[in-house]
Amino acid sequence: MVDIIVCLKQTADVNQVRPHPETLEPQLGQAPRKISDFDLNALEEALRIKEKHGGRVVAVCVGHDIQQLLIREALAMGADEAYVVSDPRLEKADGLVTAETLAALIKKIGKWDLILCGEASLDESAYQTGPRLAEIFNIPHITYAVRAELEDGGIKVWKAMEGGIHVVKASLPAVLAVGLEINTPRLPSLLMIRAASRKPIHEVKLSELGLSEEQLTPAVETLQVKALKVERRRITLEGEPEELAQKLAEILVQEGLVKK
Amino acid sequence: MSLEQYRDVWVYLTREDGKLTRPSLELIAAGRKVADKIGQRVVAVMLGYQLGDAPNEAIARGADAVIYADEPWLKNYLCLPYTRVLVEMCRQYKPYAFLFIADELGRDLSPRVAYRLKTGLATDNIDLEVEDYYFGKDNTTYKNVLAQIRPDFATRVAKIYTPRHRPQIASIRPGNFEPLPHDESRQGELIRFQPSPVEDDFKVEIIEEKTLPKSAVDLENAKVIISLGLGILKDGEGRPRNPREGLKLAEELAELLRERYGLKVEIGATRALIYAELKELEGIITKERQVGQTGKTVAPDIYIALGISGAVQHRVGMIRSKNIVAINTDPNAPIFNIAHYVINDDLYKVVPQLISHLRGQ
Repeated sequence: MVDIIVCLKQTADVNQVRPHPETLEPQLGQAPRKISDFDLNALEEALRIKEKHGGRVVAVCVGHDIQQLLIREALAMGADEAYVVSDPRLEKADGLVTAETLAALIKKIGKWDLILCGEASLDESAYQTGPRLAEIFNIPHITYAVRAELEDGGIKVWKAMEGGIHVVKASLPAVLAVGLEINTPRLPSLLMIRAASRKPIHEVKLSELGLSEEQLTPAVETLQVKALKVERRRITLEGEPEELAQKLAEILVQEGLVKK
Repeated sequence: MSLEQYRDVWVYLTREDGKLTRPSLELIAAGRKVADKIGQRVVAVMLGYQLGDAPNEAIARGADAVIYADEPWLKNYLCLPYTRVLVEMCRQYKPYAFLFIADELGRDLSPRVAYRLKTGLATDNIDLEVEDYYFGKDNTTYKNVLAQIRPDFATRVAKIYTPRHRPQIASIRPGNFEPLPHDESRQGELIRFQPSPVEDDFKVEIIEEKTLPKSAVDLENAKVIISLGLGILKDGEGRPRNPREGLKLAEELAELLRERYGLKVEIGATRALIYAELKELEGIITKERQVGQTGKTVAPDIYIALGISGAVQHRVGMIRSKNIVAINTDPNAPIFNIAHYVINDDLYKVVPQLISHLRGQ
């Protein structure tokens, strides 16, 4: 039996973010929200461990304007319950504030053996949450896990490193950060979606977590700097495939892009 | 302690077969850029066992000093003992900034070091500047703050500052700085740090190391990269296609460019395609071909993106390519925002024609 916490982040679907036609500013507000891709791999792995060894899978999500529907998706995949902190103040959270908030929420949940999270989020790709959480709890973390198996009260993990794989063994509790490589997340069936409507989503207020002002103040400040000028020439080729190919071939050769 | 008392730009270096890695040499150059602006030193930091000549090589490549620990228990990278040693070093010497390579090791280690030092962390940067930063909350202008620059969305970059904390910790993506030339005449202080192991730090043990054979795929030095995304699974009419057909087209085009023009051509791929677990591509489209944030950063003369939508994680790995040709059926594919040559059409129609036209040229 293992009790597993899975950290989920609600992000803008970055593949659907379009730049404003004039200012070129990305229009984040208009993009649909989704659960960050790798977090679904984390949830899937937690569910597989639960199916094999028994236990409980609890989803946690901290952020701002969190949509219940997305949390229901996680429950439909098979998480047993969810804890959510949704507060406007977290819109400006950096790696430090996010980890402090998640840790304070996880402490409220009680007993757990393993925390699973995506190695990075879809929108910010900062690669910080897993290691920072582990540091707060003073437990080991393993990133880039491509395969994981519970074994003798610990966890055996195949970890991708530059140029190879390290097979490592860690004691529990531990934090595991995963990416696309580890599994393919399941799509919930209609039955599972129905069942999810009865599972509890606990909404916790940020003020209930007892975080200090310092813990809630980002250590880094971010400025989004001017839309990058599109300095490059951009040529849209038009016509039938035959013409397109001919034009491209001419460009490649005449512009000297391919030369002997 | 005031912020001004934190001095020097530290760079965490890694080795392979006893030599400093190429990203390490780039990191020294990144540190050099910052240190020269503020009139301070670049200090190389190395942990391991039997470091040999590597500390001297760091000096010859542009560092002003080296702090290293050379202990049997540091032979293999383990996050907890490495974190402890680096944090002890920082507490003793108090660096202004500490830079890491944004690779699997740097991304594993730097967040933990940052948290234990209660400081900020800016990951995956492509450039660094030094600026004054006005912080509204305490109405203070902080002098000489590191501006850590990373791509944000296709049309903007983010500048990240850690005004109130030291050291300012950042990771730098490989492929953005040119290594400095080897200069044997450079002199620098070598400081050996002698930490003691703490048993509690060995909660993770390595039970097996599998080294992959050196890859024959050399994306970094290719002149042309033909790269494949999930778009190869469908044609212009939305009909499913065997991904091997897309691969075959890419290979034909690659072979033609190699033979006729003597170019060095490689096939690349997106992470999404590599891990889509497609039997048809098993053993061919593998991790060594991955371009992007967790793969290789490339800048070939020509990058031909076939069926690649261009998620930001992919774009950061190829945006510096000199000419980007994108072929995609989705008119809204983000790759078109950064492409030099936009072809909004079916790759299964255009590429075969392109091959025959190039043959006929």
